[in-house]
Amino acid sequence: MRLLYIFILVVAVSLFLFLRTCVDKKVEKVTGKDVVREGEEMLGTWASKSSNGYVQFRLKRDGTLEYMQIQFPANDTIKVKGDFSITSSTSRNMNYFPRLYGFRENGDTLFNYYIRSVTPYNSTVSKYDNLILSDNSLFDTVEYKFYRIKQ
Amino acid sequence: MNTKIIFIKACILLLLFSSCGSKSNKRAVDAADLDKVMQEDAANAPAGPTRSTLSSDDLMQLSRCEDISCIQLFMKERSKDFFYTKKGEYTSLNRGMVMDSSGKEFVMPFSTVYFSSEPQATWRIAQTVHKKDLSDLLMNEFMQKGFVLVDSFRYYATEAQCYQFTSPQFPRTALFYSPTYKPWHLKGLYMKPSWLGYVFEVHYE
Repeated sequence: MRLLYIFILVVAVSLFLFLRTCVDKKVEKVTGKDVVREGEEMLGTWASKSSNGYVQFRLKRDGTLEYMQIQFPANDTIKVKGDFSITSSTSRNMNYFPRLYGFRENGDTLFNYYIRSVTPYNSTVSKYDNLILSDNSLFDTVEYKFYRIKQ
Repeated sequence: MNTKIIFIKACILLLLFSSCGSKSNKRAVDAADLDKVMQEDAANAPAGPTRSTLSSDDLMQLSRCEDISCIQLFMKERSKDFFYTKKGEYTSLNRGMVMDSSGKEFVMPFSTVYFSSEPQATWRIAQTVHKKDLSDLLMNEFMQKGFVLVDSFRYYATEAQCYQFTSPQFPRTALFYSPTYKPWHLKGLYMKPSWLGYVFEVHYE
């Protein structure tokens, strides 16, 4: 009898997650906004600003990418559409993986960075979600901090 | 029948609410507020290093140390600016752009401090500065303390010309200054530098 209850619970949870994914996809389609869930923290729109310019990119669930760069003070804007991919380690050297690659539509690499950190879904520490990218994980490396932007 | 319909409706509502309520999406920033959020974040960030090199006073004080514990205690008080890299070496936490001889830019710590852990060593402390502006500032500090050039020679530790300075105000102290492309005593973070480093070695005899 106990096994039956466990089985019913597993089925109910699976059904809930399945239906939630279906509804999430529908919501995304209707609103045009990414619904980020556990394990998908990289998805969504990220942006960073400095005295030199503003960089924003959107990583979509279907693997496509929208990239925008505004250069100050003339506000010259570059918009690029393409794809992105996240690669984990292919060798023993963990200093360079995982990496986030952005590609233009013609296949040229737009950017290629080590993912230093991303705010976990259940974080109670961070007030704002952020994504930190850099060339590698070595101590003496410049890092770029991006914030999740409301869509 | 009614209970079933209510249950299904409740399930649908639960699904809809949970679909709209992504925790990550709730922590998103309005694009218009990005400046404010970044400033707030920077203000809450832990205080960074305030200086890039040890001062002339620091170097002279360290040169008088007779053993390693004296140096460790001295550097512990400066742990906001320097971190212990490996045996005999501290590195500046302040990093920045350094241009090499071909015009290529690198981001690296501005200085490295070396110390001898052997009580019988002829030297105790040396500092390699990776930027000319900072080297000039440090040299000016020594000049203001009355240090004048007394000798120059080819120095084996830097494989370059070395300039010896002394000051009547500090009778037993000598500064050995040497701009070089070689890592000092084959030590350091970078074994094949393509930029000019400025070595400040202070002896107390």
